[in-house]
Amino acid sequence: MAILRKIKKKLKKIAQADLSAKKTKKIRKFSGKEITKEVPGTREVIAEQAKFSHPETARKRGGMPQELPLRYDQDKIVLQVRDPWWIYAYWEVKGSTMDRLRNELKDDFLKARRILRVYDVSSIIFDGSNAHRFFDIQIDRHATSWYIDTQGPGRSWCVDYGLKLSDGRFIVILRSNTVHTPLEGPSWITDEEWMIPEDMFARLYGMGFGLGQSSSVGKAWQKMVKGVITSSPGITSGASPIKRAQEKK
Amino acid sequence: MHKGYLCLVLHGHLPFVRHPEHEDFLEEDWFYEAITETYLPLIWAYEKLVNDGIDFRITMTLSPSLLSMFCDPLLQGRYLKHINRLIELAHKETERTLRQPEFNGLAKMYLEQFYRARDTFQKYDRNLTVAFKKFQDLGKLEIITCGATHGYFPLMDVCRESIKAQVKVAVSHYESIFGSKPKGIWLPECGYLPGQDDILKEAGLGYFFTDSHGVLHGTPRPKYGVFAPVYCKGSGVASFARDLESSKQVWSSIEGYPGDYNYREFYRDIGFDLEFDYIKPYIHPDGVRTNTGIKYHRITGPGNEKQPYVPQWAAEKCAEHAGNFMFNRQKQVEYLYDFMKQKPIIVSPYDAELFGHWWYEGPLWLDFLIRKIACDQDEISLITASEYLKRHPRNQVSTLSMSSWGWKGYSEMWLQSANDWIYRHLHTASGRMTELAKAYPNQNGLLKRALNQALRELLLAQSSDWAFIMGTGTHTSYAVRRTKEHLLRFTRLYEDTKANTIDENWLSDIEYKDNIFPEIDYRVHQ
Repeated sequence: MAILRKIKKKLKKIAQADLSAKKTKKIRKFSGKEITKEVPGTREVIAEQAKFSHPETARKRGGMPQELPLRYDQDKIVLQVRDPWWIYAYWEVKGSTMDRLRNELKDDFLKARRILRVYDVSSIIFDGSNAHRFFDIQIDRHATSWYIDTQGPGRSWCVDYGLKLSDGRFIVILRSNTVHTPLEGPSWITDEEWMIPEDMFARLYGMGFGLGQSSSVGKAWQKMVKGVITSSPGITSGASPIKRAQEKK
Repeated sequence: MHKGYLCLVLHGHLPFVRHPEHEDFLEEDWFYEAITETYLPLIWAYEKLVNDGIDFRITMTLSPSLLSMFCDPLLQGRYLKHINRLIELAHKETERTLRQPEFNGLAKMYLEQFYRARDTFQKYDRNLTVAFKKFQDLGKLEIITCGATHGYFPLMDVCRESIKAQVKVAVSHYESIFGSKPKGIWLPECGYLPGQDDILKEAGLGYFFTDSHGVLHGTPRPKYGVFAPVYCKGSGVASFARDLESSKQVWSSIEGYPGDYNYREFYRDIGFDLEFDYIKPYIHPDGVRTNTGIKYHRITGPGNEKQPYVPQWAAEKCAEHAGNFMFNRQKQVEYLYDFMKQKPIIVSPYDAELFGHWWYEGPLWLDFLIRKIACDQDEISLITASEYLKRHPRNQVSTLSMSSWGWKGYSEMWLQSANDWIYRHLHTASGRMTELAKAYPNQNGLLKRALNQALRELLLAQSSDWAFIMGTGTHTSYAVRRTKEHLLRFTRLYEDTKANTIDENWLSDIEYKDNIFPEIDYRVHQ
């Protein structure tokens, strides 16, 4: 009996080992698939690219057209959303604006650092001081654009371009538009709201009275009802003109 | 028992490429290739289905820039030349391959296809909009519109006047061709940013499409996922979201049909394979090798060694794949119907140019699929978005999430180091266009012409295709050039208009070159 029990135990062990081996196999297979999982849109890019087939060598052309201007003489910073995490800012500061600051700040201007101040302005009307939080990014003085890692899907952002002085003061030069990064997953809000467009409802309403599906009938019916109601008060009279008309036929 | 719907959407678009100043222009081939390989084969498939009395519903975008090219006499004439040259080449091929039976049959197949392309093209008076309109009038196609030049809306949000212009110009252009207003729109690149639906509503558009996560990540959560439309909060415009499962079957490089080894190999073309002297008259006159459209090999396998294409095998695979696609939709619908307690709608959108051009057998697959759906089962039926809304008007209200169907699902394809430089110029030009429309509310004569042309140039610069091509990183020079050229023309028009120094000769020249949307009215840009 003892031997039998031992054999049973062994068999059980083997079976279990088999199972776990299978499990890991499955997992491996699954994770293998995960690794080769495509970035969404990759195939679409390849197929779309095929629309624009090109020869192997670029054709000689009469050179590039004239270059676009480097600046448009404007004080402007624009924010755009790239994805749930990253936003992109580009800006331009007028020469005259910089000159004015240089005159006002004198030495401080030369020592000042160029900063992008990124404000989390979710669900508020931003007035410059009521942001939930902000963080600063020090940037090169010649930079005119920047990709910003917000780390915050589903939130609203506003960015100031300005100077941070050695005493900690921040001088705003440009303020951006506000953008909203999308959620990276489903919303937590599950309240449901439903809607039927008005013309559809009118049609359904008409259908409820057995007056057919087409909107023209529905409209005719509405007109008729309106006419009847305005001309003769009382609900019962609403149906009678039709009957009478049919009877006459 | 009928349990749900399938909404097939084909998005047809090409950027406006038309160069009257050159006799032969490489990039115009995109259009000619697509006519021969996509638009005509789709028309043939529709014709055959109608003739056989098979009922079907397909939603199809024909972007305004594509429609403009269909209607353009210069491009029509050039296509005829193009197809005639192909016919000549195919004739030569039937002779050259006489002793190669594995290729000879294919050469004959192409010859026949090219003859047929020419016949059909001429049958519709060289204007393919006539053909598509016919199927719309028959109730088989629902043709929807798109941004006028396929501008990518999420990156135009700081100049909503330009989005309005993209939409309004598209709607009136559609009306001038099809005689009615479009019911819905395909947002360029499926790009959506919350709030932009207001502009669609204002233009009288009832619905649009988004990628899955546009609806799935909406607030509140969509009760039926992507299997029922939602109304945008505020505007009430309906949004239908892409079903990823059905998409993957066609798009995916792992599970996708087009990668089957029996299908035709897109990247092997006699334009590159044959001796230079022989092929020279049929590639670009500068001697640059180009695709001819004659391709003799099947995908065969992952390696470079390719075997001859066997149409019979490909057709058998196509039937199998159509059956597989339908079977999967049936299973999907059965499951969803039990789960949702209402009929789901499965939205399967594809680039139209995927069919026939990149996936040569695509139109045949579509034909098989439609026939199978009509004859072999009764669980799913084809439907268009507007028909669905008529039958199921009660839907959830939600604020959708920003999304696109591009690389990684958001805006990165059009906003990365290779193309981000364009936006400061595009946005400045948009601002200037709004300024012009306000400053000159009622102009006539030369000034009006300049203002209208300014809007044309701006729209052409906004085409998302340029940013896309820059983003792919290969052969970007044409895209860069187009962006710069239109912006420079716009800037000169802006400056000359304000200074009242419009050079009529120059204006006439660019009106002749960039002749898109002849009826445009610059005042839509506000």
